[in-house]
Amino acid sequence: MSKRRVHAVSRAVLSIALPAIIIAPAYAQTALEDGERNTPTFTARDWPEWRGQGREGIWTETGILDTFPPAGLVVGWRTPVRSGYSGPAVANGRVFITDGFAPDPRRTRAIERAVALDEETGEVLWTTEWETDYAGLQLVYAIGPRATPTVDGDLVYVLGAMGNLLALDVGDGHIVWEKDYVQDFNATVPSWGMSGAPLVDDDRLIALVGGEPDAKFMAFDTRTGEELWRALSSDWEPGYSQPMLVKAGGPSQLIAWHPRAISSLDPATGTVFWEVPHIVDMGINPATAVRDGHHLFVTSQYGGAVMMTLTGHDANSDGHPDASLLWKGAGEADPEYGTDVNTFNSVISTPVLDGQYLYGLDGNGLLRCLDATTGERIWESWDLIGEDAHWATAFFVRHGDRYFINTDNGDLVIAELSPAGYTEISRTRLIEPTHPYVRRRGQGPVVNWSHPAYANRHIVARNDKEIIRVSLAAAPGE
Amino acid sequence: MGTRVTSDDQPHRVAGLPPLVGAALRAVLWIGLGIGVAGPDAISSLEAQTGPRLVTVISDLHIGTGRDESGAWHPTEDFRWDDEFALFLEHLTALGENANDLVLNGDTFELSEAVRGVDGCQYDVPALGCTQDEALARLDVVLSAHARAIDALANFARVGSNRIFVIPGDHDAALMFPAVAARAGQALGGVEAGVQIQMEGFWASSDGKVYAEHGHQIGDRPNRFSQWPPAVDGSTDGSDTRHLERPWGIQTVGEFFTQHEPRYPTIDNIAERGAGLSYGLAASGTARLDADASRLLRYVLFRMPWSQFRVDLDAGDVQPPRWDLSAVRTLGPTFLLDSLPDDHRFKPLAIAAHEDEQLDIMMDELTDDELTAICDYRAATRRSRRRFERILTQFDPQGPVVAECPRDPSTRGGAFDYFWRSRDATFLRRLEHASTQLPTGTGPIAVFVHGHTHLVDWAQRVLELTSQGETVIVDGFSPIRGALSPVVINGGAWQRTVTPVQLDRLRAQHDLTDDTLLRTLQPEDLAPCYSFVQVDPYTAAPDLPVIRYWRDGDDGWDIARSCGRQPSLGN
Repeated sequence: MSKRRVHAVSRAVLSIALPAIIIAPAYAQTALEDGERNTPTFTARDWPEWRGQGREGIWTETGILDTFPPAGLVVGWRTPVRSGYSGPAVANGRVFITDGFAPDPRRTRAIERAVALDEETGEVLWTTEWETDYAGLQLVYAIGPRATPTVDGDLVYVLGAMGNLLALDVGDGHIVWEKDYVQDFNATVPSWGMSGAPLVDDDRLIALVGGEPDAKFMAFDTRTGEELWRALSSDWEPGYSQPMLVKAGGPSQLIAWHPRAISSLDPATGTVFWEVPHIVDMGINPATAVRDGHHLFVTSQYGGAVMMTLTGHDANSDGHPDASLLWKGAGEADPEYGTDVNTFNSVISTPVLDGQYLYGLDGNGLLRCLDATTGERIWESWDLIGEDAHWATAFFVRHGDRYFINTDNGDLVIAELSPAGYTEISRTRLIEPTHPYVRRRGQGPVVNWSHPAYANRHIVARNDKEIIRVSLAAAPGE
Repeated sequence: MGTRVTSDDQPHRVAGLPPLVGAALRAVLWIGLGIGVAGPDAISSLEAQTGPRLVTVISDLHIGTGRDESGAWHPTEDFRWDDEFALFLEHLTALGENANDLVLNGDTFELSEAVRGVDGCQYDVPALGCTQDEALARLDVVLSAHARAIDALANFARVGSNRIFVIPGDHDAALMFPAVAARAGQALGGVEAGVQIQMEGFWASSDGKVYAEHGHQIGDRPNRFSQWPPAVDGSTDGSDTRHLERPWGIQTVGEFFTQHEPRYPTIDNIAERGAGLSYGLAASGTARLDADASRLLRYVLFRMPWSQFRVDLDAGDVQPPRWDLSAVRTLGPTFLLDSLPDDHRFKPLAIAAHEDEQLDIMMDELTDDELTAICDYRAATRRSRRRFERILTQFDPQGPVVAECPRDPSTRGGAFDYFWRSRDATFLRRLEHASTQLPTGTGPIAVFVHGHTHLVDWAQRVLELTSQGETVIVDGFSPIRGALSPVVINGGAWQRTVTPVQLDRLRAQHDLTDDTLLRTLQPEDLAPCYSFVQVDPYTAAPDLPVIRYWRDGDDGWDIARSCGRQPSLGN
């Protein structure tokens, strides 16, 4: 089927007066120094990409409520959207989201969209559409894009489920440049779609493409889309994780976690610094790698827990960064699975690495704390998810000494995670779960697997029907 | 370019009696010899008395020549599990509450190989197999060598209303000889004990909804008989003596196993069974093949077990891609070579055969359907290796990938495309043929059980019927997309087997060559678990069939959902 692209742009009245007090821009810096925490000099910030600035899942705004109102949160605005897993990105007064729908539910042809909304009002500013075909995906999950948009200045980068990458103007949504992973790079879309949100590093857009030959990761010029480099074989699937940048006592490293290894590349050239071999059966690695200090951690359903030690360039004779395996815990592919408690095999959730401790969900929703240095289990609890639920998912965002956690049944939780245990401070229903899901759950065969955005003292969340913005600001006067 | 389509099972007349006349004659002989043919009415009247019955289908025991003069198992003896088998039958009796239908679904007896002390069955014409007398002599040796197992079967048949149905397979097709059938039937207890030899070559429940055949006649299998049944209408040597037909697969591959089994005792325990050919050739250092090279490559490429992958996680909506077969044909014999991954044991031999120009004609002979089947196979194995399919047993999920065939550009993109249409087509054709064999007023077939490959279907298939909002665990598969009926299921072998993945794991674990591993590995080293199919008692329609294992677990022998054991050297 030819992919005729339908390009529809709706322009808002651009003379809408933007607030005179511009909400503080996002960080320009994308990589943190070794051991550094985000310590902004301002109190509000955007959420311009997957898991926020730097992809670390850290929200640093002040003036945030301590507990949820007993009557629940008040939704500031609701705007209808179509279906999809992608989370929102928020930058410079706009919210960006992608969605999809099938004009004929009996066929796999679909229309995907990028949508820009006014952050204050929820009004749709523009949409840009493109045609695609979900044939080849597991159809029960073929509902729309997976990747969160990435905003960088005047461009927003969006990725469709079948590998349509578009660079759009944030002002009016026109296409500045675009790529088709399948047509342009001979990629084979894996079973659950293209998921890796592209990453901006200086003037490079780094993407998980799965192209051939040897184009598992690629870098493009952010302004023109010109290919700058390609790296790693596509003899195996690309996987579903998100590329991220780290610094660990040396040059910036692109952490490229794929189903055969955790690789570190030079983001400027694609040259491989180091690799730690690690097979993830079925290529299922949606969780993002997390880093704290010299520890880098990944987890997956079949691969289990893997903790690595990052070493600076001084430790390597050729001047490159390096890493080594520190410990590993069993996943479903290992014979010890089910008896090894010093692990957790997250299916989708990105875990938390906080100094000496790891927190994360096991495959069935059991929340565990492990010693980051040894992998030894410290405690475990069913209290977050509340049931033994296959593929249970939660999104953890650190806020000071506590966490905002979105569970896949639509709850928003404030909790403390410490080696002493899981302490729930407050819980409220945020959004209705609507994603199709093939396993039985307490609330029925639907979940919410979209990571929200925490920006400007609000949370922006979506399901397959609507996107909402809810204030999390502390009460006036507090 | 014309398209040739091979038919799945076109009975054609060979020298001898027409099929229907032969069948009638057999029935007369059978009744006359006391074996009898119990019609549907007799069977259903029994079930009216006993109620629904537990159906257990086991196959590929290959009960053979037994021990040698020293008392050790003969190296070609695969069935060394008489005691475990007796225990299994006792357990089954209790499980089915004395109302069991035990179906021995082919290759119960190993009658295609020579047995100790008995010569014969070798002729200048390779397609000529045993005569009836020669087959009887072999059977007698087998029966006496395994008295424990035979007695256990006879005891099973005598309990309550238990019944035993024996379906001939390719390795015990000699059961088609009336005298051989009579001898075997009597040894197991005879008709009066509820023992029947299925001279039709299949078994079906009285309502026609559960059907079993051995499986050697399905698809393009080298062990197919030109006519099934009756195989006894095979070629003659010009005299009045009837010979059993000897298919090419038994002539060539079977002989290979017989020759190499003394050196490699488990070479025919590798599941699926034909994989042992590639492993044995590689282990023995064979560098080049003779004139049979193209037939052997065809055998490697078209073995049905390549299709025993898990069912896709789709609701029947995902479509197979369209291959550009014109572009495929321009590739010539290199297409065949590229269909084997670089670590396939047979690949060096295929390359040598290509260098010797032995593969040129093969490409010309392949039909569009056959090219499509190879392309589907390449795509399935490519995808399995690219995503490290964790349940693969047929080959290491981590290894070099093969390239896909050229696609029609309109069907590019998805890794989740459906690649099993050739398998589905093959089994649909076979189901159609099987349906024609049923008595009028019975059926349709809901459960189709086969064996022959020794590779058990993986018991964790998931059929997500999203249109119905449910997830169903199915052992086996349905050749009808998105359907739960009919279900085709391969029960593996009531044998100790080892998969290529397990072999490779042992080889790496002990740092051995193929030759050393295969010389060292004994049948007793293989996991003590034996797979089979069960269909629970039913009234209106059968539930989904299930794969079960008779295994030596932590608490002793029991029936379990999985083997739970790995082979190990030096048990």
